[in-house]
Amino acid sequence: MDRVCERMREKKCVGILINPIAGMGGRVGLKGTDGMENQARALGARPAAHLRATETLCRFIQLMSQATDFPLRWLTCSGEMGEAVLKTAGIPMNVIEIVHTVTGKSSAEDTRRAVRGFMAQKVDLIVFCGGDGTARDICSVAGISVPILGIPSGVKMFSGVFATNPVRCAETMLAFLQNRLTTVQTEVLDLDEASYRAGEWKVKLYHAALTPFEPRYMQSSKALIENVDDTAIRAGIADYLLEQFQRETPALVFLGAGSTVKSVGDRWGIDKTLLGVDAVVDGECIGGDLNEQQILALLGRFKARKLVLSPIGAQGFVLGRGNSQLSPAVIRDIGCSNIIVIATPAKLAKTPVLRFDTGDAMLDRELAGDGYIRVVTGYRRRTLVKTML
Amino acid sequence: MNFLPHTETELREMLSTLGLSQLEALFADIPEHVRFPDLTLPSPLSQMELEAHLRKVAGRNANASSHECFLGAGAYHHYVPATVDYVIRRGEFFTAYTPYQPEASQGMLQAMFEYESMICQLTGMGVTNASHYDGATALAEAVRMALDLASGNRQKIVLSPAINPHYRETVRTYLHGSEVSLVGENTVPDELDSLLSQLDDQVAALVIQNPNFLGQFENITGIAEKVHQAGALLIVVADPIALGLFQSPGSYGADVVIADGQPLGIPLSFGGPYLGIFATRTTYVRHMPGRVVGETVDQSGRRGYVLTLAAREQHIRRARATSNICTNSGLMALAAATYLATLGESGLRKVAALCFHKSHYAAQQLAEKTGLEVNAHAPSKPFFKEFYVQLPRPVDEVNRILREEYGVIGGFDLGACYPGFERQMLIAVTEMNTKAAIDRLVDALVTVTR
Amino acid sequence: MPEIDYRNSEKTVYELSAVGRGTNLMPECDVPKTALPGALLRKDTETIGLPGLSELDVVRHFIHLAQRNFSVDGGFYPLGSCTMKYNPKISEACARSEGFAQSHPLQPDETVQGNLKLMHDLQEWLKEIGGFAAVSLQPTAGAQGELTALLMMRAFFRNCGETGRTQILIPDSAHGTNPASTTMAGFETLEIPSDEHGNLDLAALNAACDDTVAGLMLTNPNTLGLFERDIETIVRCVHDCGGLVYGDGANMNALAGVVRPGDLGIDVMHYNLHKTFGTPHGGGGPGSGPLGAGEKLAAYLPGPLVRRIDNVEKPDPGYMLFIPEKTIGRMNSHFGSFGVFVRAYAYILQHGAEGLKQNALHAVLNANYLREKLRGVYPLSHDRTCMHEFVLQGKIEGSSVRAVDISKRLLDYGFHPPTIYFPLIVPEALMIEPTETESKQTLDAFAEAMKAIAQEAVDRPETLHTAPHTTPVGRLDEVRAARQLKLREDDRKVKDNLNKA
Ligand SMILES: Cc1ncc(COP(=O)(O)O)c(C=O)c1O
Repeated sequence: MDRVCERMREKKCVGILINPIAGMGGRVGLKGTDGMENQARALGARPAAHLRATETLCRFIQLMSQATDFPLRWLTCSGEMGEAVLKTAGIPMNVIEIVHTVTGKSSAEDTRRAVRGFMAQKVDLIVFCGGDGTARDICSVAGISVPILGIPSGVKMFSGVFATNPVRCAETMLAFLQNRLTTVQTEVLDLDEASYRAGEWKVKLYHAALTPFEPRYMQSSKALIENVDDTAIRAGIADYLLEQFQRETPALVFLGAGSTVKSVGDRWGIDKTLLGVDAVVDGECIGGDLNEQQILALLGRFKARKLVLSPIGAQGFVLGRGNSQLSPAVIRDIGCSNIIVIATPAKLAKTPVLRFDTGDAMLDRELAGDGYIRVVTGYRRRTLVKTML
Repeated sequence: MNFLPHTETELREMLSTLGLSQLEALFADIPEHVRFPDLTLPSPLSQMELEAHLRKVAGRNANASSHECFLGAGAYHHYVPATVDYVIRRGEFFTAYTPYQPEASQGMLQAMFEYESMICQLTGMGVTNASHYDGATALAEAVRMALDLASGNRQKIVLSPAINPHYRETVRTYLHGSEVSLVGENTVPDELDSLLSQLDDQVAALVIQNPNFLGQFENITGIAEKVHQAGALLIVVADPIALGLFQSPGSYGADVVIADGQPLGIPLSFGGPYLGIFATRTTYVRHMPGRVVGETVDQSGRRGYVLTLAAREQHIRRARATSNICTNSGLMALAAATYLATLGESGLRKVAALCFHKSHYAAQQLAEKTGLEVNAHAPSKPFFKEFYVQLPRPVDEVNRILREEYGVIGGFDLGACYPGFERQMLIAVTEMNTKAAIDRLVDALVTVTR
Repeated sequence: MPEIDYRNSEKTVYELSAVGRGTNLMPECDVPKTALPGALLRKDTETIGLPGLSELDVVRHFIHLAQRNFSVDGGFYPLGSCTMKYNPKISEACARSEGFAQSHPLQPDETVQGNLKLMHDLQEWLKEIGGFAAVSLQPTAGAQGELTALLMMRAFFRNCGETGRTQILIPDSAHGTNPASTTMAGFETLEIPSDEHGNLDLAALNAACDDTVAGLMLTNPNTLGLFERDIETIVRCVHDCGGLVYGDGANMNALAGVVRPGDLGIDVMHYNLHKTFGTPHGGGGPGSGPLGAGEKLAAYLPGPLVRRIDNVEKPDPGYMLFIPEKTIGRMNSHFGSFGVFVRAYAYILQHGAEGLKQNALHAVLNANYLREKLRGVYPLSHDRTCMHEFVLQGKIEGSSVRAVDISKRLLDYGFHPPTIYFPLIVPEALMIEPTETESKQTLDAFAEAMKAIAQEAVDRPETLHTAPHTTPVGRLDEVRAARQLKLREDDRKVKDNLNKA
């Protein structure tokens, strides 16, 4: 057997993680289930995560049976955090390995322990069933070293790691494990549950994450080119912005949150924070992770200013998710015409419509333009993208 | 006449599959007021009428078969071995598209791989692409590559005035959309030193042609060092036949080698299609414009070839392209590959030697018999297959007499491109010109210039 | 790195080579020799590194290679957006006439009147077919035509003092050369989305049109094979904001004799002689991309162009070259791909106006017929009457196969695959252009193959994932090719062979 084929048939390893109570809160009108499980049960909610997970895995097994000679290793937790569902789906015990045994009620700490177990075994992909909270727990350990894929079943799913439904999830799993997909960087967001229950709606950006992605085809002539990663395109965007700023020389540039804007900062040689809004003056970062007051203070000092933003998470929000420090007051002060929205074509493919939700409807309308905005998608390249309120 | 295969019955069947009664109904999307215009075109000819007509049109051209040709200046009358036309006429190559489906295009891909290998050997460079349109466009793309490598920090290109004027003009057109300035062109064509004095930290590349447009070899000693010291690239425009005998630009430090591959088995064909040769250092492979073929294996380990490195800068950052080339000169590259494989090492050396000896014989005979000055501006500079003579009369006048009275296509009028070179005729001599033909040219010029 | 298996692989010219072997086809030197300038020569020890082959070695080698190549002459080649129609053989005979093939591009005008007449007539005919004021034959391919036109627009706006026009609008279905040409010409790209019917989104176009717009590049029919129904509104919208409209004429095979782009208001357009006018693609070129321009841009065309000499005294005063008044300059060494002009000239002269129109009608018929045959087998990108080509999705319900698998499997059925993954806006796109020269039998056979493959996709998808199975090599490892670059024969192998003596 020659080695090319061997390489293609190398045993892949998947980690499966189920948050058994995910989604219960939503059905009874709670924004999330963390710490609210008993209340949810009392309101009549029943666990449903295992059903969605089973559906996904059954579909996956069915698809896999068509592919010849495709060995797979499964890692999971004991009991309802994984093992039970794998069994229901008919996966033989001899290919399953329990990396973490849950004692008592499952908790966020169990999730983190399991992920550590997965990483020790060098998993190729972590598939989880849950919502933003579960994604957050996983990423707090996995970071961007392992791609993660969510079976949608949480109450909140602002993060960019979820498949649209269990069937698509199974297809994506298979395609990724057969090396037919690449990965893309996205964000993990979550509602700040404590402040929400206190009556305040605040979606925070917590982590960058890696998730499987349909390769973006670049097409030049009739040649088909799989764009393996976004790095070159991000560099092109960064170079183009720099070129423009050299021409227009804004004194003050704010770089918004998220992985796309961060890579612009990286390209410029600035130590940009991933989660915050940073200020750049004369090519130097003069403030990282600024709050609303700090931003307003800076705006008082510099006249020529720009704000670079990129949509964050799954729903294409440019403002209003994960960047509440950019309040209506801040945006008005900066001026809508000084906002530059950037995104790679891969990201736009996931969020074809962009939204603004600053909490100020008039301002949102102004930001959304006449139904389209120009988004910088590459070097000397913009794309007209639909907006929605 | 046309090449449509459907019978009346088939046509009716197909239309009824579509639920239509006439073909025109398929075009409802087109604004009616401009649909189906009456075109004023000549009435169609049958094949034999067409052949006769085109024979007549072609018959109105003097050409290198009907006349003895001493015209070069960038396009040369060389021998085309019979194998070349035999190979490129094969429908499998001739009527294929660019090899985007490698499993069904191994023939063209392997031929391009071999072309790349042989051109690398010839130019002394590490990598070669699978062709440009012609020498001029290859040079324009080389200049763009040099600018790209300097990341926009260098905005000047030094062009030797002794580069083919059409190449220089093409470079200028290609750079219309940029802020780049071209310098050096108004220096004296024979002085490389004044060209080198233009080097500074704004220069992305210095371009020379060797042998230059006047046919002479430049004194390249130390030139690469000086260019590299200034942080610029050295781009050399070469004659592929000369490379059979003379040092390759790679051996004297060139960073990019450009040539028109026309002398390698491609007919004069009134200026096209020709072949743009582009070779560079391996380090620049990711910046090199154009397609490139690489070796790989299939699922079971068998050797095969594919278009590779498609995901280079220029393509991934689609809008950041240094090049937009799609259709190139594939078939012409195949012709060059067949030519080089047919002639081989000794054959190419021989063609180069024939060009050298015959042109020197012609120059020496002309100087001796007509007393006209040869290479007046730099008489001691060595030349390859072209040289120029100072005529006592305008070049076009002399050419008319040569053509009408002696059946000779005379040389190129340098005065048309270079001030101070009025009445200088650039004469090209190749392996196609026999001693007898050269002697006839000399005799004719003796008479004409008396 | 695994060893390469050479089973069934054709040796390279270097592997076939033997030192000292060769064909001596050059004459002996018949003039006294001159001493060679020693310092300029390749060093004695330095070989060039060309192979040593007998003439039979050469012929056999390239014939073997030819046999490993798919072509229009060999089979159905429905490669979308490439117009792989039959290339008439009579054109070859004509192009090889010595008067054409052996004439030198720098000969004086009066010695090449045949060539100038041919170029002149071709210019005139292309003007007539496209509805333009002037045509330059110079661009050597479609992509060079694009670049030329954009440079002309640049010069035009500079002359008008409108240097603020920096943007070129390009639909998201456009060919990759469009944005590439845009950047080369120093413009910026603004990509405009398509609407649900596969046409340019008019609302988006309206939002995009302002005084920073230099122009719009539009392929019509577009790369989905659909005619831009609102073409006149689109053109008006761009003109109203002061911009110009470029037509990418790659798909002109649907329109020659049907509608003249100039009549639709297009300001400048390239033709692909190697598509619409039946000249061969040559395995990657040469092509020819003449440019037609309306009144606004005609004076900017690259020269020289050909015109008739004004002389009332002579009955046939002949033709001369001239440079357009505000020309951007030349785009290549000479006149462009003259050899291709001869073939296109012969093609137009064989067809006449009615013949060209019939070609378009039949090209569109064949595409619609095939589309109808494949309806329900693969999802259609848009359910509308198409022009000369159409786009399917290479997706089958309940199967993991993709467009690439389907296309590779077609090779096993003896067909060249369609263009895949283009346009980018259709997931798993299969772009099919049958052309007018294919018979109903061929179209039916292709449809049957596509149906059989759709069934296989469900029954035995693995057969498709690993296709093709009948070609000289199987699916090739493109990742390896890019990672372990080998772009030429090893120096070592070349040297070993040459030093074996
Ligand atoms: C729509 C379109 N535009 C432009 C081109 C480029 O043409 P060329 O290959 O002649 O440069 C192509 C080529 O296939 C095409 O399909």
